[in-house]
Amino acid sequence: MHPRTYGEMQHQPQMAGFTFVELLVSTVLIGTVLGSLALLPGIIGRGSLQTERQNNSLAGIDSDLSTMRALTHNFSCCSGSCVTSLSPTNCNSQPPGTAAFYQPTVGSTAETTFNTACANNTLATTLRTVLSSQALSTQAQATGVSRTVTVDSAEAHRLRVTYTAPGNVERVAILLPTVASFCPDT
Amino acid sequence: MGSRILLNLLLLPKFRLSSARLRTAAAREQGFSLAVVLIALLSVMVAGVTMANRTQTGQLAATLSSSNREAREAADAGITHILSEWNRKENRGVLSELQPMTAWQTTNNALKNPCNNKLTPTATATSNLAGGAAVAIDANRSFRLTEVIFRDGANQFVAQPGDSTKAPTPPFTPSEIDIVVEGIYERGNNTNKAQATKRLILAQLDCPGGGGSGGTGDGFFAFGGNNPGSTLSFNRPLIFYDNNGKIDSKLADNIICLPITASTDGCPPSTAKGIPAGITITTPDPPLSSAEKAKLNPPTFASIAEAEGKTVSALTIKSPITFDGDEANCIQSKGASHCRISSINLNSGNITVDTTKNPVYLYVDGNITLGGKADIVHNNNGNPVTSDKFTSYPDYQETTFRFQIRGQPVTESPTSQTFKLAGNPSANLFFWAPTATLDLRGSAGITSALFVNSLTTKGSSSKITLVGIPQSFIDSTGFPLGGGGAAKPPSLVARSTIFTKFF
Repeated sequence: MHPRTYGEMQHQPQMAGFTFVELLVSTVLIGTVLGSLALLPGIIGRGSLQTERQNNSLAGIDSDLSTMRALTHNFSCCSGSCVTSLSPTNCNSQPPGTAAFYQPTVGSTAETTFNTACANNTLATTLRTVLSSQALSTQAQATGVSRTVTVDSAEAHRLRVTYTAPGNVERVAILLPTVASFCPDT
Repeated sequence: MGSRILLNLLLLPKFRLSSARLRTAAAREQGFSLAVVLIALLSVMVAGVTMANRTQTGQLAATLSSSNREAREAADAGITHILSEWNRKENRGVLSELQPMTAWQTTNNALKNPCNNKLTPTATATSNLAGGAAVAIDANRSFRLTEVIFRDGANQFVAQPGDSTKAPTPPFTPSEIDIVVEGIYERGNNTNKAQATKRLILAQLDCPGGGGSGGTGDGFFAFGGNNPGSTLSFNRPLIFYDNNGKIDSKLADNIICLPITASTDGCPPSTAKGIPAGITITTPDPPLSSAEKAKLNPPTFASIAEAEGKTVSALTIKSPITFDGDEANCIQSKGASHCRISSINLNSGNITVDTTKNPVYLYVDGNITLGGKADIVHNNNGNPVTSDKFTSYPDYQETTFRFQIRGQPVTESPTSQTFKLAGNPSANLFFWAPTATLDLRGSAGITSALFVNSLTTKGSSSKITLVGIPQSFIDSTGFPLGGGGAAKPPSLVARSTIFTKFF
């Protein structure tokens, strides 16, 4: 029995490993899969990055919103002119959270000024100016957050703070200064 | 075998394995290698897609979580919105009247501000809250008030915007309130809802400020309902305190400063209880009944001064005088000295009351006028009872109430009195004068529990430190502050509070 020649082997199709079509299909499939796999890290990375950015934006909004709330709580009219600060000094020798901190002394000129501000519904506008001029928190700035402060209801002394950030992030908060509770009935 | 075939697939035909065994296998497994390759590739793809999907799912979860938070924040914003609307001067009658929530409308006069009935509720109150309708915050956010729950211990009354029920049966005076608000966040086809509840402790307040000099009241916290004991069976609360902190000298956020008005029947304090939570207060019985007091011939201040060897001119005392409970115009009864006097007019010097032996109750038929240099001094055990001893004096409050100035009941004449303190009174004492106007001027700074018709402060530094009534004064029988019936009611009642030092 002599060994078969290469030509003899070529004439035995059932003995060939793969057909040309098989090879072609396999190559295309491998290429397609490898190509797709090459894209996956990018897709996964972008998704993770977007989630991280969204969370960072929300955290940035939280940090800035806490500042807005603190300024709203510390908004005092006890000296006549209504002011606020993150580190407020006592007013009428009283700290924030006490009536004397917010309300002017009865019968004083400051009280008249405060009552006028209440009657003219300018408390919210005054506070809005202060809040709008407050720089965004560092964390909020770093995540592309923007903030808009508007008067939600001048009569109710109510403000609205709207935050937007990349990735369709949007949040709304309603703020009510404590000092508004001391507006008189007249 | 499969691995070999895979290996074979990767080799050029020229270099393929040519063993007989392999050829035999290839003959048997013709085309199988492609299937294996497809399966392998499919597995790789599934794994990759799964990873990508997990990433997208995480992002979706973060988005959904954010949406839920938006709904909760919409509810929180709704609570703030509602509190601010209730606190508008036009709307301060909304919760203080016996009206169903559906009656929150501009045409309902019962909803007018009790302190200023010229102000009518605004349309905002109706459009925002009535009927439980959703109130838009913006295009994606809204809220609706779902319930207001009034509580007092085991008692509970649930008021819903669409509920026409006005009052619980049997009635009770609530000490706490729950505001339940549903927040709604909509984006695309997704709707997220969340519910927020805020519990507020109730206190009551007289009409605040009043504007400018001489404004009536000054935000004194007071006990008593809006219409306790009247024909209205359920008095809704007037003031709302956030109970984030214990009620003491500090204000919390979201206080609603609603006014209090006295009822037409004089606010029998026996029903004015439970505000704030855990406190039950009735006014003390007068140590002497009207009949007993009538037996005391009220001397003029001048006669008292003369008996004490002082110089007087008309009803004006120009030098100090001392009460110690054993004067001729006083009697001893019920463990106290009861002294009656027609009026007091003192331009300078002090009225000194020593309560070491006995509590001293000074019944004043007319007016009290203290000039700029006059003072009231309350001594006990050789020491003045003043607010600066509050922390070091265990029986401070009990001692404070050993000195009482008592005006006329509303059932007796005169029907009005004026207690004008223009000097520097700094004593601790108890004022019971339901027909009197207490007028503080100058730097008057008394520490007191007050039952007065009205309170006026005109001095730049005048102040009152309100103290609570000690347990020994709580009397289950109560005493009708305004005398009951159709007697002239006090227009404003500043009642004692639990606050130890408000200012």
